[in-house]
Amino acid sequence: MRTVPPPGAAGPGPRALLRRCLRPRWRPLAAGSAAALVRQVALLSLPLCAQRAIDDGITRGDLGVTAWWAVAVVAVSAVQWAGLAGWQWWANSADAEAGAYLRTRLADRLAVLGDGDVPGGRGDLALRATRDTDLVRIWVHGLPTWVVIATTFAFVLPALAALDPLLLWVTLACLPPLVLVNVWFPRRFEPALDALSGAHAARADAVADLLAAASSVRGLGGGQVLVRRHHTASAAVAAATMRAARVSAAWSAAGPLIPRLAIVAGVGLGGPAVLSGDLTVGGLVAFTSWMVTVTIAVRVAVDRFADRVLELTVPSAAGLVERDLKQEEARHG
Amino acid sequence: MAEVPALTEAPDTRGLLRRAGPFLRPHRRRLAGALGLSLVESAALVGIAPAVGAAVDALLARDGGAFAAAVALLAAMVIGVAVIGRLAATTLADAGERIVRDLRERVAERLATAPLRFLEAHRGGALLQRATGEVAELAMFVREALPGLVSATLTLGLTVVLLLGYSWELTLAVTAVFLAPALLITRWFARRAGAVFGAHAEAEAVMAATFTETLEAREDLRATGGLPAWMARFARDNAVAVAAQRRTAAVENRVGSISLVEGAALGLLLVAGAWLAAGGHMSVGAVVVFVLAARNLFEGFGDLSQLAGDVQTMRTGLARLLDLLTAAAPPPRGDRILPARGELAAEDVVFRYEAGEPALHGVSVRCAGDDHAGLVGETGSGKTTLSKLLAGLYEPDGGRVTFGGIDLREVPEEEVRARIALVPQDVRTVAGSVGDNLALAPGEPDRARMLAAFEALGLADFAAGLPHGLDTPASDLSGGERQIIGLVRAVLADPAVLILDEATADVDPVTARRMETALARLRKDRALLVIAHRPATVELLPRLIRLHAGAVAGP
Repeated sequence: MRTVPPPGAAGPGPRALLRRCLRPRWRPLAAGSAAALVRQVALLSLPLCAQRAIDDGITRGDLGVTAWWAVAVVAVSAVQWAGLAGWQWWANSADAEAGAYLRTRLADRLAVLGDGDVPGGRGDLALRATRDTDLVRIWVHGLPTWVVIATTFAFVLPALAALDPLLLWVTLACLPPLVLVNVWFPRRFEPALDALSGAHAARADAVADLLAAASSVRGLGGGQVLVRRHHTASAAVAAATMRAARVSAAWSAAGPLIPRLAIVAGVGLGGPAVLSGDLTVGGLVAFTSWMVTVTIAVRVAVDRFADRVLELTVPSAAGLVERDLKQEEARHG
Repeated sequence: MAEVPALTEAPDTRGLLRRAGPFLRPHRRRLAGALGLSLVESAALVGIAPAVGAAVDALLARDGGAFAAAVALLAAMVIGVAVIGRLAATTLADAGERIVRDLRERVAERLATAPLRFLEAHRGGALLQRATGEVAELAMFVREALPGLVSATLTLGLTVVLLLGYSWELTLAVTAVFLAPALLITRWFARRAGAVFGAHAEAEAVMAATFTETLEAREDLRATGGLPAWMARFARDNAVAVAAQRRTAAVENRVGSISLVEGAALGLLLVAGAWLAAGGHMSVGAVVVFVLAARNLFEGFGDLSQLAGDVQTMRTGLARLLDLLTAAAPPPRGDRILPARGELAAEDVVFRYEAGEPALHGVSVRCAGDDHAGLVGETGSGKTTLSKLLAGLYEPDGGRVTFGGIDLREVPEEEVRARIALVPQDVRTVAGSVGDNLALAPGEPDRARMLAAFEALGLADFAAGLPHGLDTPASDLSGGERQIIGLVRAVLADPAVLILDEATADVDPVTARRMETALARLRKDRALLVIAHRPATVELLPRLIRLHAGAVAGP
C-alpha cells in the first residue's frame, strides 16, 4: 500500500509550485503592497502629529496650534483609510486567484490518473484541495504584510534617532531577542503543525470511510466500529491541536513582551532626558506609540513567520501531490 | 413520498449561541476560567497607559519617587500581560477544542446513523466538506482567532471604564465621535456580511464537492470522453468562488472606514484635551493617558473588525454543522426488542424515491425463520429497493416491514442490525488491511474468528493466498475479492436473516457456488433471501419470489 511521504520530506517542488502560483499574480500583489506602504506611512505619521500637538499646543496651552495638528491627524487618517482599502482588495484578489490556480492544477493532475495511482486516502486528498489550499491562500494574502513590517522599521528607527539616540539604542537592543524568539519558536511550532495536519488528514479519512461504507457496512451493523475509529482519530486531533496551541500561546506572549519591555526601558531611561530638557513629553509619547506599533509589527511578523513555517510544511502538501503524481506518471510511462 | 431532510446551503445564523448551547454547557466552567484569565490579562494591558500617564505627570512635577513607582508599575503590567496572556490563550484554546471535538464526534455519530436515503440524496463531497473542512476551520478559529477575539473585547470594555475614571466628559466626547459611528459602520458591514460570507462558503463547498467528484468519476469521464466538459464545469465553479471572495473583500472594506473615524476622534481628543488642560480640569498626563488609551480603544475595535470576518466565517461554518446535525438526525424509533428468530415480512409496502410513480406499490412478501428464497425480476423491478426495506435501511412510505410481528420502526437500529444483515453487490472497503475491514463486523472479531469464518465458507485457501494474509491492504482487492470480504463479514455477524443482493455477482462461478452452498449449510435455521441474476445461483434456491414493475408477480 502506498503512503504519502511526510511533509518534511518535501524537496524543492513546493517552492517551485509557490513561485508558479505567484508569478501570474504579481500585479495585484504589487498594487496591494504599494497600498499597504501608503497605509503604514500614514499610520506611523499619526504619533508625529500627536507629539507636535502635545509639545507645541497642549503643554503650552495653545489651542490654535493644537487645532491645526488635529486637522493634520484627520487628513493623515483619510490617506491611511484609502491605503487600507486598496491593500485588502488586492490581497484578496491575489489569494482567491492563487486558490483557483492550485485547485485547477490538482484536479488536472488527478483527473488523468487511475484509482490505484492516486496517493493517500480520498479524505486526505479532499483536505489538500480545501484546507491545505486555503493555507497557501492565507500565505499569499499575507505577503503585502511584509511591506508593512519593513516600512514600520524603516520609518520608526530614523524617527527615534531624531528624538533621542538613547531611545534608538533601546529599540535596537530589543531586536536580538526578537530574532531569537522568531528562530526558537518556529522550530517548536513546525513539528506541532505537521502532527496536527497529519491528525486532521487521518480523521478526514475516517469520515470518508464512514460515508463511503454507508450502505455496505451499515447493512452488517459495522457503523459503530467506524465511529469508534473516528473518535480515536478525533482524540489524536485534540491532542495535536493542544500541542500546537501551547506553542502558539507561548510564542504570542513572548513576541510582544520584548517591545513592551523596551517601552518600560524607554520611559525609565527617557525620563531623566525629559528632566534635563533633551527630550519632550510629546517625544516620549510618540516613542511609546511607535513602540506599540512596533509591538503590532512584531506580532504580525510572528504570524508571518508562522506562515513561513506553513510555506515549508502544510502548503507543501499540494506540492507533494504534484510530486507523487509525477512519480506515478513516470512509473506508468 | 416520505420527506428526505435536505441540507441548507446557507443556513440561518440567528440564535446560533442558543442552538450551540448543548455543546457549550458541559464546558462552561473551563470557559469561565479562561474568560477570567483573559479579563486579568486585558486589565494588565489596559493598565499600561495610566502607568505611562503617571510617569509623565511625575516628570512634569519633577517627582523622582513617583516617577520610579510609575515605571515599576509599568514593568509589572508588561510582565503580567505576557504571563497571564499565555495561560489565558492556552486555557481558552483547550476549552474551545473540547467543544469542537464534541461537535465533530457528534457529526460522525450522526453520519453513521443518518437515514440511508439522506446520505444517498446528498453529494458525498458536500457531506465530507461539512464534516472535515468546516470542522478543521472551526478548530483553527478556536486555536488562533478566539483568544484574540476575547482579549480585544475585554480590552475595549476595560479601556472605556478606565477613561470614564479620568474624565467622563472627554470619554463621552470620544465615545460619541468614535464608538457610535464605528458601531454604525460595523452594522453596515453586518447587513451584507451574512449573505456575502454565506455565498462564499457555499461557493467553496461546491468547489470541494466538485473536486471530490472529480476524484470519484475521473475514470468514467475519461472512458466516456466527458473529461473536457467536466473540467470546464470545474473552471466555472472556480470562477464563482473567486468572484464570491471578491465580494467578501468589498464588504470587509466597509469596516476599514473606521480608521477615518479614529482620526476624527483623535483630533477631537487633542483639541478637547488641550481645552481641559488649559482650564486646569485635567493634567497633561491625563491627556497622555487618553491619547494612549484611545489607541487601545481604536486597536481593540480594529482587532474586532479584523476578526469580524473570521467570526462570520465561524458562524456560517457552525450553522452549517448544526444544520447537518439536524438534517441527518435519524427518525425517532421505538425501544421494542426483537425475538431471536422470527418471520420477516413486508406487508403492503409502498415506496417512492421521488414524488410520482412508486418504485414499489403494495408489495407483500414473507420469509419464515428458516426460509431460503430467491428474489428475482428484471432490472428496475424493485429488488434492491425491497432488500433495503426488508433490512430496515429504508422506511416504507406505506405499509410496514415486520420481524416476528414487530414493526422495524418500533425497534432500535442496532437491534435490527443484530437480526437482519444485508450484503450489497458493491462492497466498499475502508482504509486499512483486510483484517481491519473484517473487524467492522459486530463484536470486532479477533483474527482466529476471521480465519474460522473463511474456513466455514470453504475459502481457507483464499485467505492463505492473500499476499500478506489478513494484513493485505484492502485497497489491493478486486471487486470480486471485496464481495468475498462482505460475505465473510456476514458469517461473522451471524444474523437471523441474511439478505444477499447480487453479493456473489463479481465472484467466479465456482467460488460463488461454493460460498452459497456453505452459507445455506452453515445455519439451517437462518432465513436466507438471495437476489441474483446468475441461473446457477437461483437454481440452488427452493423458492423464488418474482417482482415485476414494483409489484410481486408471483412465486
